[in-house]
Amino acid sequence: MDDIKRLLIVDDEETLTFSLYQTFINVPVECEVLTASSGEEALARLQEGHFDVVITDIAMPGLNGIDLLSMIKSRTPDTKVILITAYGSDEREELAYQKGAEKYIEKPFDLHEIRDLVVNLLS
Amino acid sequence: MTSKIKKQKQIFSLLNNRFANLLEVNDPDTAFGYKKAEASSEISEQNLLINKVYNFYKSIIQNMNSGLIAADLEGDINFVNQPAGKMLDYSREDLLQKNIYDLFSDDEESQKCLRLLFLPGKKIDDKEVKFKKKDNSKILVGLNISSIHDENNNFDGIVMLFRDLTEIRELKLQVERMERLALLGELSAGIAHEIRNPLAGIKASAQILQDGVDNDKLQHQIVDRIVREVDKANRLLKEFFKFAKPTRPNLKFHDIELIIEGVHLLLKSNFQSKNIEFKTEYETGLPQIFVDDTQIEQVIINLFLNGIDAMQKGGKLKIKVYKKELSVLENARGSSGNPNGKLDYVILQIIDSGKGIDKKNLEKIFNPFYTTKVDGLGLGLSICSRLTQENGGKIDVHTEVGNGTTFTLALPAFVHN
Repeated sequence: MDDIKRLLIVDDEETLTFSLYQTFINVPVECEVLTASSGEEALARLQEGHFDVVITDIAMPGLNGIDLLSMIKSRTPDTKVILITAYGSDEREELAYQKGAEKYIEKPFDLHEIRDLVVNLLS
Repeated sequence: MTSKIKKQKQIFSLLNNRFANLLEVNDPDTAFGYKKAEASSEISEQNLLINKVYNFYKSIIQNMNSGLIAADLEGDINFVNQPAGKMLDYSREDLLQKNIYDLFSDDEESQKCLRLLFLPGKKIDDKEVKFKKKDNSKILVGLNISSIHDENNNFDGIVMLFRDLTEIRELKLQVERMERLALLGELSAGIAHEIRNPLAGIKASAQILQDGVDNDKLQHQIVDRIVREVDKANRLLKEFFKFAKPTRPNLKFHDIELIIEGVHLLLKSNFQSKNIEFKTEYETGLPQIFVDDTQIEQVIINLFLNGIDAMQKGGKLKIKVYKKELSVLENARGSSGNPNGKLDYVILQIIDSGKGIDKKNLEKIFNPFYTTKVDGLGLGLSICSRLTQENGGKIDVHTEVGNGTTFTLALPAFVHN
């Protein structure tokens, strides 16, 4: 079981979560893909078990992606966090990297690019 | 004319002559016709005191920032101070020949204003009216009028105090525009965010479909178009963000000449292909401007391109650069030791000989998405306005249909935050 990697996708945009889920269940890395539609739901999942990679949106009702990133980093620093956002702001990007984000990606992104990045992190 | 008015006019005429003498001769001892050397013994203590008081009031009246005009019961002007003449472009003598009704640009307004005064105890405070200058152009003033009474408390004339509101009005318009743009900026950022989210969903879904179909299949091509269109829409939204939330300017001192010459070099081929003459006129000893050079460069590029677009049949783009002291704009609080709150700005005028802008469209040109071009987004000038504002400057436009347009940028030449 230890070899199976775990990926969590967090976004309140259902279509995007679905597309990302479909992409990652078909990557050539043995990996368990879970989704959450809010920061709070993501926290609950994180309490249930360790994740290698978390992809999270920033602007969500309730707990936002930046705060979620801080919480993940304080509990499991080795979890890689990719932030995806529809905002175009340099300041937010700077903050994300300061708080330990692996990558900050603006929406709409290239699916192949994010797929390759995650596969690389999981391998 | 009643004898009372005649008498009053004589007094004022005497007073005005004395003022004229005083303006020419600065030695207070010669005031009131006394020559120190010849008649010093005749000067009584009382006269000296009167002289002192007189000079004190004279100095206040002639050095105040407001115009002051007094008139008799018939409205004939019988006293003016220097700023009044300067504001209206008249000599003191010319104004003394006029009636106050001649000063108002709108007859009805003047009647309304002055009628009020004949009601007991009435006065006018800070009323915005338009006065007529010597060349018949209008000047917006804040006007106060109160009545003068004689020793028996009879209504004896009026005194008008007014200040030039042109600059204040321009600042007010500028602030209003900034507020409107900031609001639109926030709105645009919100909308752009909301649109980019579904775009992300569409693009990701389309790319999944694309991966499942061979490259040469029609479906692949169609999905490929979806992806391309999403990217196109996203590029548009990114422009939005540039307007809504420009990056924080990296403020440093720069030479305006270098920025302008750099932009000219960049657009040289555009000028040549449209047969447009480019001319610059720099005042000597220009101070450096404290701005983000890349952002100001972008503003100037946009304004040059607009000028070029306005001159489809060729023409002349003239650049005039000079220094001017201006009231500090709200967005450029600098540390100033200047007591009148004015600081150095470098003024850059971009004057084209193009078709001009219709008056009714003038206020709209800085609004985002307002455009008269077929292929324009309508963001150019709103970005210019936003970036200028971010750099502590201001942008203004003067135009006349058929006679070209002048964009004026005021850029701070002092450290601000």
